[in-house]
Amino acid sequence: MPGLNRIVTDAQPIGFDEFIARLDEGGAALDCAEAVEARADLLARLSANRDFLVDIALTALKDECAQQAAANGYGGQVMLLHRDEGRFFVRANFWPGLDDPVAR
Amino acid sequence: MARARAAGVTSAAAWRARVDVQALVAALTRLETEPVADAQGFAAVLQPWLTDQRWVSAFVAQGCATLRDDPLAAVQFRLVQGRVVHGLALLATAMADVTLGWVDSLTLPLARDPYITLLSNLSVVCVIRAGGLMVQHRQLHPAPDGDRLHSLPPRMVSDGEIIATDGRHECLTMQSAASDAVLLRFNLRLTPPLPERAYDADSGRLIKCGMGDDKVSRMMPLLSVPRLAGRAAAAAIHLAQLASHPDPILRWTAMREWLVADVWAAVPYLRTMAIDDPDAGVRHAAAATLAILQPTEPQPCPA
Repeated sequence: MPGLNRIVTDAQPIGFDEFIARLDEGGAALDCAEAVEARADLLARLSANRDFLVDIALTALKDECAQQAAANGYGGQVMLLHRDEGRFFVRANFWPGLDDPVAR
Repeated sequence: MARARAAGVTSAAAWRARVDVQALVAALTRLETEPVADAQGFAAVLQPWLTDQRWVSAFVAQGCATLRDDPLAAVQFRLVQGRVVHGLALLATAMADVTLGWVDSLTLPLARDPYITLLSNLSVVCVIRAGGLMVQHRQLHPAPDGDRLHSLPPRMVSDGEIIATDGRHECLTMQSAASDAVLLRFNLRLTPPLPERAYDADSGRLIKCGMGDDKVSRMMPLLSVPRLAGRAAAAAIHLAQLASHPDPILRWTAMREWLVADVWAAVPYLRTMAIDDPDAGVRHAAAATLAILQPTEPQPCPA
């Protein structure tokens, strides 16, 4: 899969809602290298947004993760960010280091 | 891919529409307003299903078929990863779930935990395929220096056996199996939740306890996210709220993050925590932290 390991450093930040809208309108299929490549730029733009994940985390803390617990079938290290049933989902994984207080 | 997606969605809808699935979901949901007293009461509620071996077999077979038809997991069977039992939650309500579990006979002897944990739940296990599975029943007995977990001699389970356990004072552990075993497990979480208690497998002494709340597990990794992103102050209001959460570990972790976010707002609560917190570990940690912070606390102007 040529090109998939490149690092994007100059991506323009994009909001999470816009990220989902663009995935939605462009189709979220990731079943070939070209499709993954096409989404990589979008993901790089989301990655350049340093606030969206904190905003979602703050919302989750506010409701004490009630919505996550109800809708997220994964374990505690996964925050489900968006799910379009039968099409695609977006999740954030939190993998603590061995020295992280949460892992002790 | 599109065909697999469509098949999965159809299969998931068919699974949820099954009359027996809907009836079981209704019975489990009813327990939220009509609680049972103990594990035997839970087993009594499940009796219409458990005593019908043909239903059990058909239910499991249909669950497996639904999974097979659904390579993209549209049905959302939740994966249950344990050290000993690996499974799929075939059904889930707010307080209960039904899991099809598989015990790997090869890895079972290696997966033995030095701790045995009593969960805040009632559990009914239906043995689908025993596979020569040896289990050990553990019961909590009062002792002068704290409750002790006692172990009954290991015994072999048999196909079709129903085992009900009350996590408040007992549990079942798996020792070995001649071949892989398959279990259908009905789990009902207790409300209000009790702490999960871990006992030393050899001595039976209490080692540690925690709330074991799914929401707490999800909140723990999020507590440090605002600080690591340089936005600790934005989290202060939520951290202040969580610093009085019932779970002692979450409460203390939230306090640590709150101290970073807004130390002088948090210190009065830290002081109260050091004296009044119901958990001895939290009181100790709060007092130790207070001792570090107090020398730098601003003093009122003597003038």
